Amino acid sequence: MALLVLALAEGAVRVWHSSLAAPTAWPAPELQKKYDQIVARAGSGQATDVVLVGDSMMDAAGNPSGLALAGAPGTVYNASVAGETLPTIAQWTTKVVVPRLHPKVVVVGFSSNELNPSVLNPAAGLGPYEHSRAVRDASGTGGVVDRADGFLRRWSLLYRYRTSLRHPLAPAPVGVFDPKLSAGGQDLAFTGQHYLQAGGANQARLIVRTIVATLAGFTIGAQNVAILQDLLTSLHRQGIRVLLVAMPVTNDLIAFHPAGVADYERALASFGSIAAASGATFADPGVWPTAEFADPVHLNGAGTAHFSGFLAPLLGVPSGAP
Amino acid sequence: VTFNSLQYAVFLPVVLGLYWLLPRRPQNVLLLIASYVFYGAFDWRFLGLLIISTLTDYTVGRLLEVTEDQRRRKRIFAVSLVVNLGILGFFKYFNFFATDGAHFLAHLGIHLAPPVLRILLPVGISFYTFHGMSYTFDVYRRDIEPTHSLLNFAVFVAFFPQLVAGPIGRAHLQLPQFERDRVPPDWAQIRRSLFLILLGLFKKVAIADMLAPYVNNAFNAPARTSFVGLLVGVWAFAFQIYGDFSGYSDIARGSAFLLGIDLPENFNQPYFSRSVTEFWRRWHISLSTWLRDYLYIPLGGNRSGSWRTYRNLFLTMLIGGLWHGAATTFVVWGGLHGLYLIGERRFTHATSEDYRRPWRLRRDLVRTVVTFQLVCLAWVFFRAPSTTAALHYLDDLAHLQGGVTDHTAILMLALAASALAFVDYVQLRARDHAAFVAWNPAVRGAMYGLMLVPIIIFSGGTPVPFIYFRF
Repeated sequence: MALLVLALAEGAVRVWHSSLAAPTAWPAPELQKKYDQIVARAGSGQATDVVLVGDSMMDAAGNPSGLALAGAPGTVYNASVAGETLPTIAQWTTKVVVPRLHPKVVVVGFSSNELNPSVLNPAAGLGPYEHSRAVRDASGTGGVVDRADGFLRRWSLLYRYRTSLRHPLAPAPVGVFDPKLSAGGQDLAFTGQHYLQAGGANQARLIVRTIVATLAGFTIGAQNVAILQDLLTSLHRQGIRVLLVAMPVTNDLIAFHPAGVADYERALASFGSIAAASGATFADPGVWPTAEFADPVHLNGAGTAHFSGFLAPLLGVPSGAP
Repeated sequence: VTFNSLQYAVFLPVVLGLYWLLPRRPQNVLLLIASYVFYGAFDWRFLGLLIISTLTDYTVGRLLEVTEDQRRRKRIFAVSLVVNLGILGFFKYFNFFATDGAHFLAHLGIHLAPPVLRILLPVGISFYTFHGMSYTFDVYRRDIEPTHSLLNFAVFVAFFPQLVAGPIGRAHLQLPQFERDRVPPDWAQIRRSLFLILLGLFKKVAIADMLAPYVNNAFNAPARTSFVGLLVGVWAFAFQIYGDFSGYSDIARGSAFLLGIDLPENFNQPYFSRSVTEFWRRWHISLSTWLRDYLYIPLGGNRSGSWRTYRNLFLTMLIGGLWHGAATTFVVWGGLHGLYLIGERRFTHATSEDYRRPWRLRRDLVRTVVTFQLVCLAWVFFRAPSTTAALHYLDDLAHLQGGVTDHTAILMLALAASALAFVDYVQLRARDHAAFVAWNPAVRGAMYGLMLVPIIIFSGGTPVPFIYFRF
């Protein structure tokens, strides 16, 4: 009788699963959405020449269709993830994105905050990321339990859709960390916003609080430098052309550093030396006006267009590249 | 290794398989090794404390046996108290007393800068220290004979099903079970045990873990949660902590039964209580009886007039609150329960024997609902990160504020409350926690299926630790 009840539950999910939200297995909604996009791109055989990676700054700024309009060669996909930090992005890039999309160029876009040791806190993202079965499965590091999990996902819709069944009345809320994405992977949460106006005062407060916390006690972390250098070097060794971009910033963001401009310039100098030591090209667009930002950190629609114009000429794929 | 992990699903059958192949003494050796492995898996460094506490209580028991002089007996007994309470005090309360004590002194104009140590709280420390102390108390009072077997005593203290979150064992009930031969459970006992484990998993995964995000949302941001959302938050926490802790106790009892050991019941349908006095006969019974026998009664109990009784009740509940954690929130929680008990004793006819009367819907519903709300009011302090946050939560609740209401939270709370009320009502009527096992096989099977479906839906990912592991 217990088996009959389980079979009935399985049957009910099979009948109604099309009206349920898509199941999530990744530790953050955007990781799930991007993974699905990446798998679909790879499965369709569509070539991806350029991949953009980074945190929410690149997620908002990297507009693949805008880059095409600005003359970027080849197709571009934005694989950045809002809310994730350097160690997670490094693993996501090398173990999930690059092995599936095989890009010729990777643009790594970060700002000074990713060099501060505060982003290494496991609770800031890497912990849940590493503990996720979906991540281990996608990274090819899963064990017996992960394989059993994958088997159950394939054969039982009750099991596969269980994360959707946990929220039967409403889909998960859409916001900064669960954004609408363009087909090219750009986070569209900031495009129509004016500086500290749209998204409500709460969102602006949240972002300011987050960036202040991330920059607290700012210093250039040796481990951060090592992680970034390893990321760039490993990409370079695979024959990929690597571009390290210091994301455009506002003067307000620079002022949030405990020592202001001095801290920010130290970060730029570090980026330059990391790029030089790992075979990457470094580019710094500098400080841009607040009219091009949705808040002190993220570019809006106007800023994104400016960024496409800045980045497109740098993406030329050298002939003979793999 | 937690009860809701895959590791435990492997660990328990392996231990059981080896255990029933062995005679009694090697059985206890196996249980001790298994218990130390189980505990060491949390952090092997904590094993030292467990062993120190075990050796101290065993030695004190043996010395008390051969000592007749009352003053000397008292001094020997004090060693057990000092060691156990010293371990507990240092690892659990040092920073609390150092920082909160300094704040208090600052109010009096005395400014100190106490050291704050980075101390890791050993899992289950409050449980096994109280567990061991109950033995030395009983030996000191000559209620039981001390054991001569260090092995048996070490297994009694470290028995893995109850080691990290109880029930807090009593030596006179449990120690003899490790000293005699055990009979393998028959099929009926196995079925009861497996049912208790399934029920515990259901309560933990499908009730407690399911409600946890809604509780977290309400308590993390009460200012932007509506009145209904706040109300749902605190009610959901009441069911979350009940599902979490009683689920743990059910799995502990089920696992112990399979090893031929009978652990005491720790919960007896507490939300059917008709007074707070009755609630404490039904909630975390092993702690409330421990506090009654080793604190309230030695303080004088109700033997020296009303005011002394009130003082003793209040002190016992205050210390009961502090036992849960080194924070003013737990002290306020305990203090509130102390005030409830005093109020009931002063103004109503509620007695601790009320729980023996059968529960009747028409007669008892209103009192049950009122009691539940009083308990929920205290839960706000238990759950909130600070007393200030708890007061803000209550302030937001009192202002009937508008804001976000998550309708899924209301649905989930209704489902969880109905499921728990159904299970508890059946147990209450039958006076048996495994009453379902005697049901018609088809109905019983359907019920097992209905428990497995939400377990499947709400499991997966990293197992959520039990709330009482922190205490």
